[in-house]
Amino acid sequence: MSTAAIEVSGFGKTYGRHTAVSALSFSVPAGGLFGLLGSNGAGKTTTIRALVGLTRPSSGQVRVGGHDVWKEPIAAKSAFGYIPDRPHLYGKLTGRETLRFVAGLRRMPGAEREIDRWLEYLRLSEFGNELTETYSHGMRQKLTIITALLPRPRVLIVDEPMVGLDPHAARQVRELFRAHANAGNAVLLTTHSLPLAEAVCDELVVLDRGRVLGAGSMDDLRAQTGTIQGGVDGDSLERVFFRLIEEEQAAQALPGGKEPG
Amino acid sequence: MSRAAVRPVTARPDRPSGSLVRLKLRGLRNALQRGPKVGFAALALLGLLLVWAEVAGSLRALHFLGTFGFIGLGVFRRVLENGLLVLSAGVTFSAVTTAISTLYLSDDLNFLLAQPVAAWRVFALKVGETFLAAALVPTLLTLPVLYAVGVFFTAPWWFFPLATLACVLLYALPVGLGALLAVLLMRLSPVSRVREVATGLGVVISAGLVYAVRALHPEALVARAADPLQLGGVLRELSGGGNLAWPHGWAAAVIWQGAHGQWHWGLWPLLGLSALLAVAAPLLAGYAYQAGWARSLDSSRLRLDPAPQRPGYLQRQLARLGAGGLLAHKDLTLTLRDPTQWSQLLVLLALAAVYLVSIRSLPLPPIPAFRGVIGYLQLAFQGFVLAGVGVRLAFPALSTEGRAYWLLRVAPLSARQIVRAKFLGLLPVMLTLSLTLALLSAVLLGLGAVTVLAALLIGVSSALTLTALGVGLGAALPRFTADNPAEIGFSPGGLLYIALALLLSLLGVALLARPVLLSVTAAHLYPGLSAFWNGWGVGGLVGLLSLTVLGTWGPLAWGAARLDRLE
Repeated sequence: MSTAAIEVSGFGKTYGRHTAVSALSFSVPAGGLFGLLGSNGAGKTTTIRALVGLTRPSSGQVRVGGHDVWKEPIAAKSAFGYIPDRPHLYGKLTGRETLRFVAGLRRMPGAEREIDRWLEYLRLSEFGNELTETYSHGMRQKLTIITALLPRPRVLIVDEPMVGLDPHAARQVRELFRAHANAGNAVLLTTHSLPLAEAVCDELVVLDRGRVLGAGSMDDLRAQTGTIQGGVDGDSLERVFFRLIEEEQAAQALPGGKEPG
Repeated sequence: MSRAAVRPVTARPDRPSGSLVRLKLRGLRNALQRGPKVGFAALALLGLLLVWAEVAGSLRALHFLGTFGFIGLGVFRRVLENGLLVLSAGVTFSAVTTAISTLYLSDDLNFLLAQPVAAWRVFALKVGETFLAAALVPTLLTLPVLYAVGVFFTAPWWFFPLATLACVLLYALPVGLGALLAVLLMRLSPVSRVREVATGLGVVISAGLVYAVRALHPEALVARAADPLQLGGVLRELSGGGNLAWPHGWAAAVIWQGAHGQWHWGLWPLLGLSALLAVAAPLLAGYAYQAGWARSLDSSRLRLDPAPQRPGYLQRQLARLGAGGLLAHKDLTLTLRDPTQWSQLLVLLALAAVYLVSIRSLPLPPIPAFRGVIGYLQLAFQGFVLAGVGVRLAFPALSTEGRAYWLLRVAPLSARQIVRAKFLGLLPVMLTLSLTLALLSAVLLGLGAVTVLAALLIGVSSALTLTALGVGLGAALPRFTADNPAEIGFSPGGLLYIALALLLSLLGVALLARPVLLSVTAAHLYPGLSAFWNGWGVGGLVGLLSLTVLGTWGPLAWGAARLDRLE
């Protein structure tokens, strides 16, 4: 855990007068599994989109695999795999053709064998020759997960991975993320599922309206909330998360309180 | 993350309304308020210009034809009737596929049906939406012409609402029929198949239209009109009472008589049929939806085969070319599997065939110079055909990536590579079409060497520039959320493409006009290809080369830069 696989420094994004994310900084080391948490509109997806080259930062820098995503996009994009929150695919391609296309764009040798292995692993072998327009949401989500993991990326960036997955697939995916990080790669995921984040993440950042409320390991967060408020009742991530949100709301309610970013 | 305002908005104390129409109007108002104001203003300006051109053109034509008395005005009436027929057929073409999208696949359908609102009201709204999607543009195109007719004949005030009603009723008929047909098709097969069948029907209708236009033999009409012995018969045919067996004939009669201050019985069958369909379509659609006729909405039958299908020969060969080859193979596969894409090309190929047949039948005098000039000038019309193909093929090239575009965006590819790959993938198709049109028309008209060479050079130039313009403009103004590829070409960007493509074609033709003119009017002074080897010729060739290079590189570079900035 020495080199930062993902480095976000002073990242900010504004849409007109609206600030979506303000001065966000964090880094994810190789071998780490990092969670971005927050309510709706907290800025998680904006951050993820900036990291994968879909949204240009208004300020600051985002680097993946040691490359600035916006100055060296090809090198940066070669380093990561991305799982979006909505699995939009080419409906008129079969699952296997989609994976072959992705493998071709990334110049993967021996792709056919790997494709077969992944389809088998996520129980899609029977559907591999079917058009993806006939897939259920969960099946499309599984295929999207394969598109990201197939090239064995050094960095995996995931936006809400569990939507539409059945319990078996959800467990498989959780194990996949953990194994990917254990193999020396970095994983960054956003999720609304606090139990998932608590179960798999080494470190967490809690965002609210584009600003960081808390960051660190579970122990760090417990210490942070316990120190400031005199101890939380219970130590689950859910309690920590709501405590952080309540603190922020209380701070804003004070005269001269902080303006939302 | 949306761009929505952060501050909570206090709701106005509006009276709660269960009106579905008000709901849609509110949605429209919100879209207009939050949409790009400059784009709307440009669109409005374009619309106003079009209306002005229609009204001015119609009045001018009426004044001109009016000088020939009732026969001349009869000709206008027949043209109007045929125009209504063509536009009704166009509405029929799109009504079935549109009805499937609105009646069965709308995102808000489940939400609306879960509300305490009668199902027939929901489906009546959906039939209304089908009308707006399939018939609004034809209606807006027709009304200025009808109003111009009213103004010309100083029609009474009630003519204007009557003409509007006749026009709406005429286009409502194919929409109602399309909705009913969609319901029946949904009973028979799953959504994907229904779309294919609907598209097939559309192709048949369009082919029928093309056949009908050819069956009129316009060149034979011209030839007959030129013969004094046959002129009387032609004029009698044109000035007759029109076709009162079909709705377009009723509508034309209602409008024409109304403009003269008289009622025509044609309104009643129009009104009766439209009302019948307006009642039957929502009722049957609602029943069919809730009875589960649209079985593919809930399930689809798959023929599962776990044996992996390996890449074919073409895919393996194209994959050797790298990202460009992969993209080209993917686009080809998607196009061939999507009937909404390949069907448009069939229609356009039919139009190209009609163009060539019409060229062959052009009644030209046997004077070489005259044939040469006309043969050269028709290259400008070829630009129009090529622009028609480009707006359906090159302009939507990026937009048809749809919501799956993220797969390319996060892949290690630059926007420049994506745009270049699209351009190179489409160029062979456009080049083949362009050169085929240029060569065949040159052979059919028996043109000279200079004209043939100019036609070939302009053909190559047009293929390059029009493909680049389409891909570049499409990359700069993509519409990834369009449901149907057919609608992409009719966006403001698509209209801009057609205007610019025509301009480029005309420029190309103008640049080589001088040497061609010299070769056909002073053939003895400029034998062989020597017309190109003087100041005008060399200047024209250099100009065409510059136009081709700039017209190809410029749009591609601009499109790639805009695509790169897209968020």
